[in-house]
Amino acid sequence: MEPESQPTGEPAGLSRRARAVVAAVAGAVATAVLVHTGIVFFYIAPSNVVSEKYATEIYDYMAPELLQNWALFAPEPLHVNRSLHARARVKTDEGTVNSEWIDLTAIDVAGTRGNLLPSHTRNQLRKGWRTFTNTHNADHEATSMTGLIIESYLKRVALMRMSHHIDGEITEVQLRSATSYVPEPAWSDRSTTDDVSYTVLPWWPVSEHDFPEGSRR
Amino acid sequence: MTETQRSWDAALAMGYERITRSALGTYQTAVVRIGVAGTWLGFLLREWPNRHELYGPEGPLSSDLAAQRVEDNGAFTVLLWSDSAWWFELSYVFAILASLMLLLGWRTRTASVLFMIGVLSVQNRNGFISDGGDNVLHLMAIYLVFVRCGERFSLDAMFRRRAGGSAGGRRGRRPDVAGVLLWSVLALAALTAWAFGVLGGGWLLVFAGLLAVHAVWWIVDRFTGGEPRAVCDMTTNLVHNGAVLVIIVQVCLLYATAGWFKVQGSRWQDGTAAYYPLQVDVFTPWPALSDAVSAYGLPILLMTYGTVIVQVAFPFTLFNRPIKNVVLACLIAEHIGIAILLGLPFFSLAIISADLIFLPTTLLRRVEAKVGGWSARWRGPARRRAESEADADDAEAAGDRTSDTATPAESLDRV
Repeated sequence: MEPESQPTGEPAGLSRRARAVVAAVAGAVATAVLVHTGIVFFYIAPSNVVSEKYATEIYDYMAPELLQNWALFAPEPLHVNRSLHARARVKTDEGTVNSEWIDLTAIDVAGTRGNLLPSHTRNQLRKGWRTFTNTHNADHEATSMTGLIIESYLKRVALMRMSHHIDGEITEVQLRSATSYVPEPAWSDRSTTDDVSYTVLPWWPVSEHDFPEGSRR
Repeated sequence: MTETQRSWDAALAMGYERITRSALGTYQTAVVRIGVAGTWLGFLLREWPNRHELYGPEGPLSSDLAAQRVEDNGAFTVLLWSDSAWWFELSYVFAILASLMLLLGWRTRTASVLFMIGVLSVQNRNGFISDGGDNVLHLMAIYLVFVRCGERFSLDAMFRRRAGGSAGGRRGRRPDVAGVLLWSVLALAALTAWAFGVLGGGWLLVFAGLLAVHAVWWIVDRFTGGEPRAVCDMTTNLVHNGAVLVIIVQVCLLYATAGWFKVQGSRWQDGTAAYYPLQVDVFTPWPALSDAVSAYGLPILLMTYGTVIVQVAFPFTLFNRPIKNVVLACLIAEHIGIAILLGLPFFSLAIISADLIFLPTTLLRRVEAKVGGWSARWRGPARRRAESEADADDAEAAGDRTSDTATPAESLDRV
């Protein structure tokens, strides 16, 4: 190589050692950027031959702080209205009675209406239910640690919201989801059923410690 | 050696020179910093009345439940270091102050670490309620730690200008006592947390590393100057530029996969998808408006296809500046629409904040000039005279130094 065609990128005035350090750093940064963005790509892209083969390694790199999911409103946009209902088994003077079903999601809908800044509180039931279905089998039994935690969480959210409507001691609580399809657009030929489908969970026992701050005891 | 090879070599050399000698995109990273910190600050203040219900020790996700969850997934949160009420209040207020500190750009490099601690702590305390916006803030909080995001639009930049630039470091000037004090307190806090067994070894190592970086900077700034300082500066630039590239790729991947997953859905394919969320009760703050927007098939079709096209196309538009700017404007407009129509303000703000990394430098320069004009008028003519003298010093200093405040980066515009 002719001397005059040598790269002039090396900062003039820096010693050989300093230049070597900078070059090493440049190499390390370039490697880190490539590795990081590569792993992120395979983690968030649809499942493929690479991400399946290295699923564990990729997950170990991403978890817990880099986890991400951009399947927003996808592949299908949200197209159902889902409410969570709860009822309680209440000890009264006349014995044990079941309360009426109480619509817990109604609070979230009311809190959203006319609000420029709706609160994250409306994610408690909506996202909680999704986590619940992802971590339970068809018999509503938890299949993981997260499943057990989300059960307690949903129970406590329910108690917090329903305790104000119930007189007497709550000994058990039961949740159900009520799901109905959003009506198809008037301008389309499609039609859908107006039926509400229910998923009813088993009764869960309630103890003194299950009532979060803000509940009425 | 052919002519092509020679120009290729020259281009490579020039590129290497640029990424070592300067921090690229200082305007863009500054507005991303302001957007991200402002969004998170707004969220924390918005949820102030609900903070106990969402993240508190006696809330639905009690300390016990959250501790089990964190033990399971290994996420970082200071909120579980104690289950007392005062610790929770203290941590929440800390997260607010850290956001404010980063927003204003006061001791920005320290602020970005504290901000990350705040974001991770609050979000990881209850991941069950996090949405896509939280996810963006979470990632950005981590990336911003590696970025020189306080070079523009910050108190740091203002103080630096008043002090006459930072050429050659602080040698011969007042030592940064407050900085040393701040970092000593933080080091002590980290050590204490580790001694009490609440801070894991991995995170202790991360914080120790960050402390070491600051210590090295302080030493070369104050005592050595010259070559060691130049090497530190170049290292910092390289890390900054790498992190900026990561942010750019991250946002591109976000949009690309968001579009990629959408095209798999039948409703996105037949052009009706935009209709459905507008009819879901919890996403309709303004039902009459939602009904009006979704009343006709054609606008819905345009919105649906437009969303997919813009999301899938976005990464490729970076190769053409005018088209990139148009698509960027579309994405920002769409997210403003989502913020209002679907009642997702913080989600939209978070994504818009990340998008700001693609804003054109010329626009941000104009903003800077305007803001500078306002603040000069606000401070009055006497100060302005002093300021203009300082500016002259600054310009002079800028001529012979390596790059602390960096040559304004145009490169983001060119991609």
